[in-house]
Amino acid sequence: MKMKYTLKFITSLLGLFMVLQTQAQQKKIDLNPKDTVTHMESYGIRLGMDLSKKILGQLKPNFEGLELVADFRLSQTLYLAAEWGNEKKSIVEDTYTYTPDGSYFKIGIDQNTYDNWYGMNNMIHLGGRLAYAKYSQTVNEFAVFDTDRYWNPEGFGVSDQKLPTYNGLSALWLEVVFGAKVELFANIFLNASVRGGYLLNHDSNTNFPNNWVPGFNAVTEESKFGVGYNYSISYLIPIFKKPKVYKESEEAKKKRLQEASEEKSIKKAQRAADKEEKKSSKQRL
Amino acid sequence: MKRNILLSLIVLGCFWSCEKDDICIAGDTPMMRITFLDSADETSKKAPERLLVVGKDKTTPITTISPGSSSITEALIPLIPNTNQTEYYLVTNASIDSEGNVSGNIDALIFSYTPNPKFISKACGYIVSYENLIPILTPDSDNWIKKITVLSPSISNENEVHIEIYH
Repeated sequence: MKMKYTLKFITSLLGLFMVLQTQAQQKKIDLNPKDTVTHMESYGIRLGMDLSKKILGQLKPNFEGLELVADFRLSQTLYLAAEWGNEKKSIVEDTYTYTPDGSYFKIGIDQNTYDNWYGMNNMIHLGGRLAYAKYSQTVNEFAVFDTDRYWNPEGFGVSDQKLPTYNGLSALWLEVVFGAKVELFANIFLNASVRGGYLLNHDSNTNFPNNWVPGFNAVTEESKFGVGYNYSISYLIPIFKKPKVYKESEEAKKKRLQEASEEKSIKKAQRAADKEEKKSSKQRL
Repeated sequence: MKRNILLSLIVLGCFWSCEKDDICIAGDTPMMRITFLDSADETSKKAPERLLVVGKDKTTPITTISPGSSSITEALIPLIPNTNQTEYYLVTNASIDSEGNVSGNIDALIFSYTPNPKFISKACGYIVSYENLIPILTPDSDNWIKKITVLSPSISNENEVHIEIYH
């Protein structure tokens, strides 16, 4: 009889403690309240022009080019990006000179890997493009390769024949883009990028190879890879604003996880206590 | 981030590939092959006496025929690949005096053709083959060449005979 009362006393005391403890947890004071001020970021279309091609065109008489660039911000880090360009270049080889001339279009995605500080709007980006070029090739002049030196003792004789222009050539390739965009003044950006291209398909004319494709640059024999670059200046036309999503810092993440695990263990303890109580009440009955 | 940049630089480095050496070995413009036959017996070969072949406006004879040889029945003759006509002087009983003047029986022969350019490779550029080959013998008072026949009007292979000269 006496034994029964003692047991009852202990279990009820235990139960009381549990209840008190959980109440204390619920009243916990948050020492690190979340920042509720949101920073709005501009979303819109960024339009620009490649400066290097213009400058190169002024410096070198054998090159003419224009490239327009555009991108549209899709999310916090993703941008839909496109380039359109026009290039004409006279290339001198040992025994012939030729001029590829045509335009290209590239479309793809850029992902910003740079975490901006408050108010900054810069990018270090990695991206990909699918590109297509349509162009023609004209052989301006050629000398006939001939090992016999009787008629042309000094080198090869330049032919008086005019070769037809190869029209309607096209090329399709993939590009990996690595670049940076820096905001110089409000909404004005300076951009630079390096590109590695992988040629998927190009028309191989039976009578003349594709050694240079507008937008892709030099095509090496027996290789599908190419390199390009661009330096452009662009202007952002803001269309709408969205709050910036801040990335959780390492410390904050640790803390959040710890809190969660603590909460979990408390709940577990509570559940165990509940079970105990049920058991004991059953015993009492 | 740093690792990202490094990685992309390595990837970019892979795109630069070496260019091949610019030495042309893939092809050459062919020469014209001629044979000399007996005009009396059209099936037998006959070498002209002391033959000398020199191009128009040239001061030296062609190198594929040793000048003054009497044993040549077949020879390769270079054509001018960057125009559409080549003129040769074929001299028999040739002799060259101390001032370099050629005497003998001189026959002037003009070959007209259409060069057909063909792109070979980046190193070679273009070679030509010749189409519509027509030989024209300039008539004079004493032609030693009696008849010319064209065996093949297109020259793309210098191992086959293109022109037969009967004398």
